[in-house]
Amino acid sequence: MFSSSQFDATSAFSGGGFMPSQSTQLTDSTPSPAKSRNSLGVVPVTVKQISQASQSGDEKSSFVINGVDVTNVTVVGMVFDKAEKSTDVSFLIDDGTGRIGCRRWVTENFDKLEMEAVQDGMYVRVIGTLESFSRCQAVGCFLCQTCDKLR
Amino acid sequence: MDTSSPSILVNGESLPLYFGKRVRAVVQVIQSDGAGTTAKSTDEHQLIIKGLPVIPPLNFVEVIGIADSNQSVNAEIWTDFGSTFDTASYNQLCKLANGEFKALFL
Repeated sequence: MFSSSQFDATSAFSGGGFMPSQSTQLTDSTPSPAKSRNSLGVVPVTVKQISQASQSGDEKSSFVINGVDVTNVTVVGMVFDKAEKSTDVSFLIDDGTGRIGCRRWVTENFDKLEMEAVQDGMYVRVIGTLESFSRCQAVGCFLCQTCDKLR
Repeated sequence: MDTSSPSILVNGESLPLYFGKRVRAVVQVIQSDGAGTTAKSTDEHQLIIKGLPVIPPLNFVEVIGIADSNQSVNAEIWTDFGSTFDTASYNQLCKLANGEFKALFL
């Protein structure tokens, strides 16, 4: 009755269990051992990991998670406290390990349409940049996808 | 940012470890009558989920709530995941989230 597929820890922790409503090709977020420890592309993280991140101290204003410089991250979680303003939409995303604030700037019609589909209680995948405000991390989103295939 | 109230990923085997704590689990509905829902965890333990509405049998639902016994959860939030779900991967995720990779979650 149940699937007996082999468990792949890499895809599970890359958010592979949730399917976004739009098919988007993300850049490879798995760093190669042969390359430097600088992050390439988008890194899937938990809010717990973000809470333990430290700022890299260089001019790139990136964060360090598990020894890797991280700027762009992706988080999958449930939306809470969505608040719409004329220039942006803010909300909290809860992935079970914690809650973090997110802000999606709304400048084009595409941005408005994307955020209209997002409601409290929905599962979404956010892709954005880690930012620090008053010693508190947040995510500046440039993409917010609803998850319509929750398997 | 707030990590003070996580909901711990559990299956039937790990649920007893978190009595009184907020947990989250994906279960398959066996019987739902409004008073209490009998469900099966991804490692095939029978659980009782309280506070759910009537959900079609065999549907998978994610439940977030307080573990109030070794085999029951008092649901606060629920999400219907539909009729298909990769239970093997989720079950392995529960094991890893409570074991080798616990630091990523708690």
